[in-house]
Amino acid sequence: MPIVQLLCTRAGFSWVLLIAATVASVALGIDHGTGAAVSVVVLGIAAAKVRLVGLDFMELRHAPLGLRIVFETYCVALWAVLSAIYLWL
Amino acid sequence: MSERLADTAPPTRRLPGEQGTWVFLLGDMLVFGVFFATFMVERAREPTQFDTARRTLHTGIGFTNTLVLLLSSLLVVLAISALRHGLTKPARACTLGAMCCGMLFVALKAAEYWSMVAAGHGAGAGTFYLYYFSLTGLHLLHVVLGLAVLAFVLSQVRRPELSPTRVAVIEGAACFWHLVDLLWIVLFPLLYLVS
Amino acid sequence: MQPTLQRACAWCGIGFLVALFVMFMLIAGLIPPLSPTSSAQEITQHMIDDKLRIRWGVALMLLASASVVPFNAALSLRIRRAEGGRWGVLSITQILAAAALYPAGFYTPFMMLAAARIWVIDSSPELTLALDDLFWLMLIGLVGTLVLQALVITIATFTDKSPTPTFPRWFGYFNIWYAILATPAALVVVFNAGPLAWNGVFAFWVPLGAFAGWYVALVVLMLRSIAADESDERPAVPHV
Repeated sequence: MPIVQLLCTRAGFSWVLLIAATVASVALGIDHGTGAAVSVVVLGIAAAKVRLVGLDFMELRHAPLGLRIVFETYCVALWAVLSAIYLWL
Repeated sequence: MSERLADTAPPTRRLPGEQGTWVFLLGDMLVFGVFFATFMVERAREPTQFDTARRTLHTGIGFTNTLVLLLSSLLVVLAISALRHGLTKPARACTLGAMCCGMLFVALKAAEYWSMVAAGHGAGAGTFYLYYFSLTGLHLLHVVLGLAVLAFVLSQVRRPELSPTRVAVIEGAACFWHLVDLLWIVLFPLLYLVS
Repeated sequence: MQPTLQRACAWCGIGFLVALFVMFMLIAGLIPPLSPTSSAQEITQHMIDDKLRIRWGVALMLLASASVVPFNAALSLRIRRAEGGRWGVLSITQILAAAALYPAGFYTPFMMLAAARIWVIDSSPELTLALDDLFWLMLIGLVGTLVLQALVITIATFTDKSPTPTFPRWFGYFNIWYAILATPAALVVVFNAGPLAWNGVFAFWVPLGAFAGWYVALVVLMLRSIAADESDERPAVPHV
């Protein structure tokens, strides 16, 4: 069935990674005190997931470079800004 | 374009959707980024209160919702792929599937809101809850809009011929749904997991 | 004459933004807004302290905010063009939505604020508070018509069938974005504090910023469209 073929693609593989990352972040983030470095990791996982969704679901991997760079910058900036506020405020 | 992992020939670069699509999507991402940062700044003012409030959230529902949206995004990817290969029935089925996932998300969210308000943790119960309901509420608005957008995609799938503009709009519509997923991917850890 | 007039009307959009900045913010000091949770005493004190600023700022704004009227007239004509040159449902909706803007969105709230001064002198803080509340709620609560205008522009842009569309397609997407951003402003009626109050991030600052950007984009694109119309209508001069 064509659907199965379509699943064995980059998008399908990314999806598996996304599910795994979600489970991982829940396992990590579920119980810890305030100010833990774990939160930065959890945010990092979130940013990485955002990147995967953009690159492989929104097809930005093969979009014009300008757009892809803007998007990747967003992912990095998101993680950096949120982590910075978390750690230093 | 769906591609095998073993593909070695680099595909030519093309813009998904139209230029305007990205004005909108990037703009929305930027604004939500501002909202996320605002939340974090507020969190820094009362970290213990925020953490206590965070623990009253139903992480199980949040986690399920994340999986639901991820599944719906995959279905949308499959639908677009099927559409490109001219496979109308699978495209329809996948789009419908994605819409069902979306509706499941809304239902789960409504149940979650209901139970939180019933437990006395409504939007007025504290700064954390105010932000929680505002952020997830704005996201929920996007989900509902996304359902309308997917309904549009569904209506287009049956057409025998699609002009390039129409294809671009459909791609843009799919990207909007992925945006809805993307925003939740940040919201879930931000609200439920980070303390 | 008409293109020049239309152009002048389009520029009123920028004029309005400048007035908002100078008179509302710098003179009257009403941006950033006072907190919805301020007590009657605090509001009254603020009115007494800043009374000259506020009075002058509001008086000037009463006149300057009328500039939204010609601006929207020009916008209505643009939408009419996008609808194929006739007064279709989109252009009429635009007129009706814009018609409410000055009377309900500016005149009435400003009068509320002006009246608050009379009661301040008569020392009735509760009434001052009530009028101040009304001012802010009315000013921001009018967002529904703005969202409607944005949606009308979106539909007009995407359904424009002419060979030279009035607005570029990306502007249709931009208006959807603006509509979404402006929508939370309606929640100022619900929340007293936090990001969705009338001095909050989501319900005031973001919609205000988006509104300014939206108006600037509108003015630029309207001017472009008017110029294109003008060059279309200019009769070809035969060379002798």
